[in-house]
Amino acid sequence: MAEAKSIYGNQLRSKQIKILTKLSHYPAALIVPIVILIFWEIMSRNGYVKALILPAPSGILDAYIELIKSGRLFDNLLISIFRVAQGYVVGAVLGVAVGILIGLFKRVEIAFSIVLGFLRPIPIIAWMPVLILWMGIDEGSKVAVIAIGSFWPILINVVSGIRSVDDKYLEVAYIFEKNKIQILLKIVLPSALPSIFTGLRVGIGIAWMCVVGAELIASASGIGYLIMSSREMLQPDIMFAGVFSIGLIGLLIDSSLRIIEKRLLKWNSNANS
Amino acid sequence: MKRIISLVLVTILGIVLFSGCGTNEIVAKDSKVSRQTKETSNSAAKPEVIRIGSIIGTISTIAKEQGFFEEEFNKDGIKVEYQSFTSGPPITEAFISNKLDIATYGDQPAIVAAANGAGVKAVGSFTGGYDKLALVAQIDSDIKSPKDLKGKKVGITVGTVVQHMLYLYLDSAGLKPEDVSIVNLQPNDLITALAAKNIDAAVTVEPFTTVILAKKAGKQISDSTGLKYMAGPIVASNDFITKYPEIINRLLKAYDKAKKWEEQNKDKASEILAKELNIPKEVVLAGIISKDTDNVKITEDVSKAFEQTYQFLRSSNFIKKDYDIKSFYDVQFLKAAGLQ
Repeated sequence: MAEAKSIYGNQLRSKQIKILTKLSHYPAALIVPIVILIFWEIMSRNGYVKALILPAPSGILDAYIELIKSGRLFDNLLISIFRVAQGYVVGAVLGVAVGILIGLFKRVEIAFSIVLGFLRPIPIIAWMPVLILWMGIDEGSKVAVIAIGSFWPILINVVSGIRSVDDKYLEVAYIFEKNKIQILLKIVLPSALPSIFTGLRVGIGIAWMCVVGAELIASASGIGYLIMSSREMLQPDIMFAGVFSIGLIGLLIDSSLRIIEKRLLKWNSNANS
Repeated sequence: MKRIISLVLVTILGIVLFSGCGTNEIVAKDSKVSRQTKETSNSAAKPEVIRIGSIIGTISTIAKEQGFFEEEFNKDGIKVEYQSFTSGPPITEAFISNKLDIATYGDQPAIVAAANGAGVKAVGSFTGGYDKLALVAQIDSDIKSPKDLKGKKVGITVGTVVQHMLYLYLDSAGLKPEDVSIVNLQPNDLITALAAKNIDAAVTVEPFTTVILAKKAGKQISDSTGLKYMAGPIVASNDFITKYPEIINRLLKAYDKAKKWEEQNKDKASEILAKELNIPKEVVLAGIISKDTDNVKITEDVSKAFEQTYQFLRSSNFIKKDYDIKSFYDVQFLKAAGLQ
């Protein structure tokens, strides 16, 4: 009994040490960005950096405050996030579905290899004129761009995850005479889940990048439009505020996905790194 | 601790070095570093090259084809370089990154540039009039006036003269920007979008209006009569003006020569622009050449137009601080060249 208690005590202490270690990283990690900001502000104030080319951090902060107060920032961010959500769901569903098929059945892979190999290298930006031609300048083409963008990394990671199921598990399943569906649901998919999640995380990052690209060409709303129109109106402070917001939201999305991944994949030690 | 300090120092060093690399993008305070010329002390200094910017389908193309700039400057060993654009804001960016000395474009982006400290000034006028801006609609549309724009999708190029024009159209019909669906498109994309019926209407400026009509991508509903005199300034960088004022005089003379030539040789001028825009020359003649002004003066119409544009920009808060619009233009060079 006493042994069990001391083991638990050790575990608790090592967890505390882990958290404290992580927290102690923060001051060091913050030094670099703060120094950069101070340096930048000084250079701007002394005129070494032209405000029209690179606004001072204080100017960008002012722009931020104005954008938040007028609601422009949140309105446009929400519109962009909504577009991303739509396109991402389409891309993810297709990516996982096609990925599972290709991963499981060699014949499917061979059948699609040329078409997919041909389409994959086409950069998203090159798709935009085509999609605008087919679907017009409304939401359709923007959602399609995002779907295509998020499709590829998800597809690749799903295939890779399914292929890399450990043979030992499959042998065990064979010995226990499990049928194909059980093997798929109980062994293959759970084993592939870490890879699938990696694909989903990369996919959402690309989806977020795509929405800005999609909104640069023919739009009247969204964060990409905010950036484009502020550039055309010679308001670089608003432009940079928009660009930074993209980074912030991207970071938020990725962190959220990481937390979800940790919860779902508790059994996988790799996911905790 | 030592490691952190050295990491920080390396980062700072990296940033300093990196910012030195892209010297085109970060310019020193007094533009002490001039990439235009090596001679700065001589009062009769000449540049090695003059970099001229313009919107396609305007007098600048004609002047270039007929060699008016080369005629004026080659004898002094000065080269001339041209850059063409389809809209104003990129021209402002070129001025800011010191890639242009003089350019012809719309007054809205030029005034925004000057008011925001981009260091440019209008020294002349390359075009103007009530027939340069237009409201166009789909070829078979039933839009007959700005009133019919309510609830429709209207394309404009944000940051250019057509933006102000849309607001004026809406105002004249008692509408507000929220009553229409505004889509931001580059001029060439406006043409495609209109032809593909992705937008119901668009506000355009020459030469794009004529291109739309020539390609039957749409039909013209109205121009800007009674609403806005479109002013197109000849804009030069303050740097260049300070260093080479007599060159500015000579440039204005070259532009003026081109204008007079265009007036006398309408047919050939139409051919030149027809080739650049890839449309029939008869359309160019009717839509662009015969409507063009024949001088480069900053007339009262022009200066009033600058004023009107500035008021719009200031009241819509596109320009955030008060700016003296009279400091945007300077007629001394026109006067010195005997053109005004």
